[in-house]
Amino acid sequence: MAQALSQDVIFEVLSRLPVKSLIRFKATCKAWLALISEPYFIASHYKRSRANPSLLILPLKQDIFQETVDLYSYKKEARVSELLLQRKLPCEDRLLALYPCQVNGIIMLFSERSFHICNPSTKEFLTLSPPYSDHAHHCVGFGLDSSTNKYKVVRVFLRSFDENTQDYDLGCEIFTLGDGSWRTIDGPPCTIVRNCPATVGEVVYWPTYKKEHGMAILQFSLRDETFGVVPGPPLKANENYVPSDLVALEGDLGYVDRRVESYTVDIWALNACNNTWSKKYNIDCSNFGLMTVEAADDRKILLSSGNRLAYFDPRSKTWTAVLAIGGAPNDKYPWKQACMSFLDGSLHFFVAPFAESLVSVTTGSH
Amino acid sequence: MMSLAAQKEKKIVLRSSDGEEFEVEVATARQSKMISNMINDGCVEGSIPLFNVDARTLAKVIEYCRRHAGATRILDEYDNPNEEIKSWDATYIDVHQTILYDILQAADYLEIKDLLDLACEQVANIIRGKHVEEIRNTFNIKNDFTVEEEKEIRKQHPWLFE
Repeated sequence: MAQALSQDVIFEVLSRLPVKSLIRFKATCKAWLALISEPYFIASHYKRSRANPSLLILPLKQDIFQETVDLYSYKKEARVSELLLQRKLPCEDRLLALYPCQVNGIIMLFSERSFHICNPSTKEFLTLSPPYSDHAHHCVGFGLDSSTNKYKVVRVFLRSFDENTQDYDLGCEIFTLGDGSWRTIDGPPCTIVRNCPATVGEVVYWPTYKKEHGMAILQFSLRDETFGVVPGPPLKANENYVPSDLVALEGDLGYVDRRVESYTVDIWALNACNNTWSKKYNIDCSNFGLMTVEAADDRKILLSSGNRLAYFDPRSKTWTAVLAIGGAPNDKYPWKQACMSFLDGSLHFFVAPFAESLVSVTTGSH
Repeated sequence: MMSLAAQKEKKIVLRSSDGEEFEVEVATARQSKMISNMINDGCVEGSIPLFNVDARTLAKVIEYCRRHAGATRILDEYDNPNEEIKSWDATYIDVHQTILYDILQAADYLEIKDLLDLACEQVANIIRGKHVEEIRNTFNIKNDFTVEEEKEIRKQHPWLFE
């Protein structure tokens, strides 16, 4: 090459590379090391990588015995899976159910005792110091505070419960990545009924119940570190009550209303400006029988049944099989080619849309 | 404002760094933001000298601009990515590396965003699997780390340097 490329061109080229190449190229020269470590570059790279997402899959062997965490990325179009990260779990975690959350390509895994944060692209894995309070039954959320560019883990736990008066006292602790320890803050005004958080922007949501609202949504602002309550969507009385899920839509919170009697799923979207709900998608699940919404945008909705996975296109109302664990293939479920060997021996899996990121979990900055 | 047809008729002259002159339609030249700004400012009398682009590269860049000057209107009409132009782009950019880097620099200098994107994508695909030593050779980069510093960086991610 006759002339050296300008800094801008180098930036443009490097921001299109996979994380694996970028970490290797840090050893090229001081200028490249500085560029690849720069927060602005890391953010631009993630933005580009998000335009071409894969699926992150964590096979779960059994409900409560997991020796290792194996995180795979899976590209449906290419039918290619790649083991991103394999990590042995500490002994005390192996007998506990493990719950994953995913935000911006960073995974938080928690059990009743411990919290781990990892970036599968850089293979960083960090176990947080134990929280102050050892109340095991906690609900946990995870997300980015963009005012400080730091990730935070929030944990709500039942401090005490009086069976006679039904009064309860909730505690809350926060861990900011980059800090060494947990902080105690004021707990939420109402209890969380189901541990299925959804993070939208800088807000974590959980389903809750309030006497005056009935079914409602508890929200936590990662920036202000305060709780609030939003009424739930105006649903018809559901006789066959199925615990409902929350899901992050594109920029909005989604409420998943599952109706087992008719095999349909409605997804309601919350307008966060005025706390009103509108029905956004209606999915007829009678064909595939998958009713857990894992992710949704205008082009495709990812649904699972824990061991099978398919996309639903809300515009054409068509289904596409993604993958499945075991089971004999048949006409109704054309899973034959979709069975992937990396899922052999698993009972179910965690799945999330995934884009590679250079964010360091050990320093905690975005 | 000139009509599109009139614009297409009107031609301007670009002169490469090695003195060769190329007569191009205004619509083609306007694919370059830099030249487009010059046209708007009325500084295109005679020929436009391009000191950083040689004749071989300029011919190649003009080929791209001419194709895309025609394609822009098709894209606007249907408002979706055009398969035909995508496949044309893929064939166009499948060139020897020395030409590719010349195109990359010219696209940056002339501010032709789509061509810069296309060339960056192609360079990224070529270098993603390379070793650090190959990267330094490709981009004429001098290793300015001390032996200890380089060892330290490699130690942080041993799985990448095996």
